[in-house]
Amino acid sequence: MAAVGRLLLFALALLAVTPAHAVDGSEDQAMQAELDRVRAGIAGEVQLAAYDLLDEMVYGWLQEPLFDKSTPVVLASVTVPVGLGTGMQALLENHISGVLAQNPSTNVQVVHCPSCTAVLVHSGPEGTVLSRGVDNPSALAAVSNTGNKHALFIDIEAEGAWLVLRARLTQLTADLPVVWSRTIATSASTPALLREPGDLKSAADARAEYLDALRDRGPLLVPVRFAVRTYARPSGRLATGAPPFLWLQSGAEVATSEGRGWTGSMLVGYSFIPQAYQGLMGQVRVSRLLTGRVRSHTRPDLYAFVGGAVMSVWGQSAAVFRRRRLTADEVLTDNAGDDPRNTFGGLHTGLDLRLGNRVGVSAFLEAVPYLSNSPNLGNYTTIAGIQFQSLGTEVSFWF
Amino acid sequence: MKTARAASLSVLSALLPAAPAPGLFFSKNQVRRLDCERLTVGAAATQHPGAIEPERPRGDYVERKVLRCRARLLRSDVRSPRIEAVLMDLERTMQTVAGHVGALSANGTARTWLVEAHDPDTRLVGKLRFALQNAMVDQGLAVSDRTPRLGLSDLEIITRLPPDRAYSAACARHAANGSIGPAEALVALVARDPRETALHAGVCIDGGWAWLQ
Repeated sequence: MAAVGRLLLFALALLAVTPAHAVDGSEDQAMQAELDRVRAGIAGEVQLAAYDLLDEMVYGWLQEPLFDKSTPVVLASVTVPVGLGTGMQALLENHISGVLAQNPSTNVQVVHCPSCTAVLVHSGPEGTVLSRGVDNPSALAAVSNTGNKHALFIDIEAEGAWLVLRARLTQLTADLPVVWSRTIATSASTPALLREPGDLKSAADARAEYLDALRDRGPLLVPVRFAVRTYARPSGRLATGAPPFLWLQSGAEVATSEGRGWTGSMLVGYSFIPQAYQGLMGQVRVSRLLTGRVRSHTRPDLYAFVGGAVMSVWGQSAAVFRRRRLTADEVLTDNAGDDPRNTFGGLHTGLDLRLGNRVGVSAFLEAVPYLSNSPNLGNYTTIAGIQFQSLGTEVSFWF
Repeated sequence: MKTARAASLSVLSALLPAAPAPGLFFSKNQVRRLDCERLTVGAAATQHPGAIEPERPRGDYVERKVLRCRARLLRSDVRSPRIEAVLMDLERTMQTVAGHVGALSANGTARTWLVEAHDPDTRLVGKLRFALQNAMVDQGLAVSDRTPRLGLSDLEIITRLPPDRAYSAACARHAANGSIGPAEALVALVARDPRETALHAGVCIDGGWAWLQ
């Protein structure tokens, strides 16, 4: 019985142990795969920032050339952050070489020197020395003409939230003096400038160019707006209410600043439905940006607005804009003679959702105080004692 | 009633602590990825003009504190904790060492400085040396890229000495074999223990070794 128990225990132990090893192995592989994926992602993010730092360094050379005349420089080494792969190293080498080739006025002439970066074995009176060519100029001179060459070393490292570029230029003479060095850093949250290699700019110039791009349309815009105003039906079975009024509006919209935090507009409008009504209107509106202090180029902007409008409408359907109840006699009289004409003003408030100040949709409530007691119109809602008889929607295009 | 209120407040503060503390919406791993520093309101308004309002001319109605957090570039599991710790403060460490070296050079003796770094992780050696060289050039010091050499027989003896004697012995041999000339000096960055993240620095001047930090 005890032997059976021991056998059972052994079998259980085998069952428990065997999958555990399998799981451990797959977990390691999964962790490694995850780590590789993370490294690739980070390298992709870091690469643009590293390009930016290299561009900044070359831009500095454009402003203050290191040499009076074109000088051969060996790209001795480019090292990338610890933990990231050598693929990034190759990309950075290509980028710096490309940028320098497109900017000859830096007077830095990148030259190919295989013996500079190769390991050389040099035997002399002091012994046998193994080193890279750039680290042992006397050995390098024996195999190639160093002339007036310099060696450029570049190191990029991730230090906390900062990506730091360090560069130094060493003269390939016996003493290997460091003739120039620079440390530049950019934070992880700073977007890369993505400069054109052939047209490098300072951050200030790039910002000015960006602002110019923002200001391409200026503070004055011409909106074209299609609006529909619906009117609340009055209570009562015999009441017919007013039909929806369609308006085509245009005019000018001006902003107080490039950020378009506040805008004001003056529009005129025309409305025409054959055998029903025609209308003319003038409208003034002030809008305030709600989503941020300045308009966005990447997401929609929401504005709140208040305004006023004066409308003059005529036609058979305009008869309802009277302050007293329509009678059968009035309807007959209107049919027999001139179309009824009514002029009234309204105050409106609403929200406007705009996409890049190119296209937008809005909704608003309008109060018509002149017709507040009219039996021909009802109220959609009452806010702070103000009765809103009209509900409107608009689609706008800005040019 | 008071106990219940206090308990509910405790639970609420534990679930929703002030950012960037970990809580309901931020895990500990997310918070560990942040690199935070306190700023004065004036400095924050200067550095982040759109995000932080400057102080009002007659003072703010409430006291404001600014804590700026930036996400670290690399996740903590990409590199070993020691490498991460050394690299996190690399620039500041090197500026400190360069400042000490600059103070040594302030006595009027113009020397060319050679730079060495010794670290158990070979990937760090070049990084440390590079950073110190740049920091020293920024201090206006003459720096050379040359590496002083020791003979094989010297190395065999020096590597068998205890560390405290090895550095001074190596320094003496450098001076004796002429790899560090009279107008030159050596500054070495040393990680004396593979477990520690603080770096030590020593100088070799005229055959004499001294620790800077």
